[in-house]
Amino acid sequence: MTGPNDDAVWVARCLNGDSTAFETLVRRYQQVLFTVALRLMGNVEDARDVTQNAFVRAYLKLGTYDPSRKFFSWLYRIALNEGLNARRDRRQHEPLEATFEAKAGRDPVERGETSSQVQAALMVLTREYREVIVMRYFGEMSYEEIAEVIGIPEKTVKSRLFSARQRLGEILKDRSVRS
Amino acid sequence: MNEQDREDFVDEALDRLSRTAPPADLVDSVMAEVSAAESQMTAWRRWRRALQGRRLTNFVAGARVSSSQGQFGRSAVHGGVVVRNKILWAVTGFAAAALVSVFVLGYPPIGRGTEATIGVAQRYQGTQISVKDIKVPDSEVQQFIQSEQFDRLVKDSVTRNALRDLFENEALSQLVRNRAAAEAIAKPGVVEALAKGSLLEALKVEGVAALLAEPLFAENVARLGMAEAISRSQIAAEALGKAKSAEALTRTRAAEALLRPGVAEAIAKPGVAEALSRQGVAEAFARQGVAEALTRQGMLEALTRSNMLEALASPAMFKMLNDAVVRAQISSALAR
Repeated sequence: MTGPNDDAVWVARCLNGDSTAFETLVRRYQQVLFTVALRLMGNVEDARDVTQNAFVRAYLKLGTYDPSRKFFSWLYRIALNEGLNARRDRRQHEPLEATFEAKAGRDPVERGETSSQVQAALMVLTREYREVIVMRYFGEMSYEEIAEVIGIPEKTVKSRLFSARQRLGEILKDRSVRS
Repeated sequence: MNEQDREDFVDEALDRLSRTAPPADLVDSVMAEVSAAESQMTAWRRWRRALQGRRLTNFVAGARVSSSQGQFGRSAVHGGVVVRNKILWAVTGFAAAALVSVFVLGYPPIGRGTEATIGVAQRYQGTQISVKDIKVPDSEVQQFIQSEQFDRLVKDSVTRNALRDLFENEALSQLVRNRAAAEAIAKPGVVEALAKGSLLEALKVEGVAALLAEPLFAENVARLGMAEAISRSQIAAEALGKAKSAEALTRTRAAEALLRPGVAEAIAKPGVAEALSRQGVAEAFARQGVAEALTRQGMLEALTRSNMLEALASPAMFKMLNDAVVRAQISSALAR
């Protein structure tokens, strides 16, 4: 059984010097964190870097983890910051959409044109919209958890998610009409 | 496409992006970096992490206490979180009770002079006026509004209210627009003399302003000293003697007004007679509404502040007072 307290036990063991305990946490959250990073970043290479850096940073900052909160929310916040930093670095060199669309074809994880189109549409969304969609659908987080991670009221999360979905629908529709 | 179709369309699209398997070597890479990071940790950092780990262990132990097992007994054994929580609640409760006693029962009493010691500091919470509040292209006025001097004036409740009156009240505004009058206010002793009230009352009497502006009168005042001069009836008589007969009665009333208790004393103050005798100053003070505005609570107090007097003498203030639109904008900004 996993849960906030269960994660806290592993975190406590890590802090007490048992670094192998951290492997349990990495194995537990690697898939969801990688998926979220992939949807945020748009390509496997960046997603891998973000996931790896987020885990390492989390390990170094384990002492700041508040056990009354969900471990994944805390981990997600770290990954989000890593992702933003990586995006900021990348943006200096090439435009976002071009980056994704150029790399999407090489992405071994993506199978089929349709999922590439959906991912491309996600990347067109603003950061705020993409964040809430990724957290809700790929991080499987509750509204409350999303609100806590982003630092906005739960009602705002709901309205932002609604707008984000509408915008995503519009982008997908436009793209299907054009193609 | 209706709303439901659109929702389904988006759901379907997002479903296509299912969870993705991470690279197979991700765990190994992370753990290799973690091991490297751990080997570089200092003993001090390891010790601090261990302390944090114990805190977490206590939290987990506390969270696992079942209500049926009895929290108190278990916490006594484990010596941890539950007892600390009780202490925390007790302290919080005591603090809440203390706050209630302060705000509801009014104990301990917060009297004058205790601000910022027992009670809250009684600071004036005025907002700063910015250039965007005042739509004027004049850079001198804009600079003045953004200056530290103006900032200090609007942050002081006394000078802020006085400024508001100044910009709202046409009579006061006219007084300060008169350069000689503005300078007269700044002269030592003038504000104090006006504060007596009796001088302002005397200035309202018809003819007083004219008499004070009489060169002979002023000269005698300057030469002999006002108190002494007024005590000599010939000063008034000489002034009256030069006047036309039609004005004689008025002048007599004016002389009487100046002889009233307090007025002579006020005029006798250094610089007051000299200031009032300057061209147009006495008339400016005698204008209808000025005396009332000046005697309003706080105005004369504000005028005793050196930064207020400096501001009144500044060319930017002159420009601001001369522009009716700017006056209205500033007074409304100050009223906020």
